[in-house]
Amino acid sequence: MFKRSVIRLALTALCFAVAVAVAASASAQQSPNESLPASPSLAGSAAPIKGIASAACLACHEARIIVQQRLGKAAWTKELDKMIKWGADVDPKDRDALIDYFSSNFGPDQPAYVAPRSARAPRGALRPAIR
Amino acid sequence: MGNAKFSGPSLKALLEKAGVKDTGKHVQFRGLDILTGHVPPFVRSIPIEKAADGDTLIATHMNGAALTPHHGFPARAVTPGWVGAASCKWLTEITVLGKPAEGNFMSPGYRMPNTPVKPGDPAKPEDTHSLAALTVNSTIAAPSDGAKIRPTTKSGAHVIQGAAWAGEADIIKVEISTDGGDSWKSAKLGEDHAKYAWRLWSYAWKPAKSGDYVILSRATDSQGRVQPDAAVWNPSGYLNNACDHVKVYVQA
Repeated sequence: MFKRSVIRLALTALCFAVAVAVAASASAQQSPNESLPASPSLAGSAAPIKGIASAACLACHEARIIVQQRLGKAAWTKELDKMIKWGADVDPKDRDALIDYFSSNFGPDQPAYVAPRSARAPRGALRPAIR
Repeated sequence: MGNAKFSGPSLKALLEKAGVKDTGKHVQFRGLDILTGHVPPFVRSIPIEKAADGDTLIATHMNGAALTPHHGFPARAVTPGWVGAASCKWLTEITVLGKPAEGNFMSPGYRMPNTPVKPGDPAKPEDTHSLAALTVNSTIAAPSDGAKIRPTTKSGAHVIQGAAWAGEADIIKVEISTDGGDSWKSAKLGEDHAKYAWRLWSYAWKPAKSGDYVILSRATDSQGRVQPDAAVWNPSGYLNNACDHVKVYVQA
């Protein structure tokens, strides 16, 4: 047992307003700005697995968090099972195919991830120091 | 990204008022944001030394105005120089613990290998540490990636500019390469300079001829850390401080 000394801030009356605002900002953050890459190793009948992965993962995560991981099969298995336990919407019959998809496309042999440059600096974001 | 001035009572003052026993080693924050599904609560703690250093705040204001909901109204932790996960928004509870908080987001989540490991399998938990201070980093704000820019005019040079930051350390140097990393020259650091804040920088560039250029920025801090060409791999990509780059085309 920890010895605890707790300071509670008087926030109860504000909870409703804040909770609404949090939900609004969370949904804005859930829009992925990238999609998962096409999967040359899973062409033909297995190709729909990319769509299944997108539906399962991109509701909460940006694609880049998956693309840059470069995990081995054991680590991807652990990661997927954790996400299923936490509530990822995955049909049990798709689990093994998803593990294959992740480990064959986003494994340790992939080149190092390079963050994409997507955002343009707003005009006047930084004032010039040289005039 | 941005750079703001937060204000409010120091956590040190709050802890002194509450009275912390000698057994208090970590301070845990809990906020109002709730994760979906069966995700465990996002609760983390910081060491008492950081919590009581006088700079860690229970912020109520940002840039002189009351916090907006987006920024954590009515009160949030600001653990300056540390990863964002240490600055809990919408605070409801501050708890002093005898040891680091438990739960996924302290271990095994939100940790870095103590020494670099090869991509593939995460390091053993005992060979990792909880994310804490940021490392040295910089970003190029202008020109934009993919920009077509005119050749040097009579008024002088193109201005390459951006910001650099280093958590609890100071930025002492920013270098710019306009040839994809083959050669580097020092940028001019901005005059505004505050602990934990970013340091603006600029570099006057006179491209000799038209064509494609890759511009990189590389910062060095007061702890001797220098941005690497490629980020040190870790499973979740934390603390990625690889040199930033933009590609531009200088028109004929």
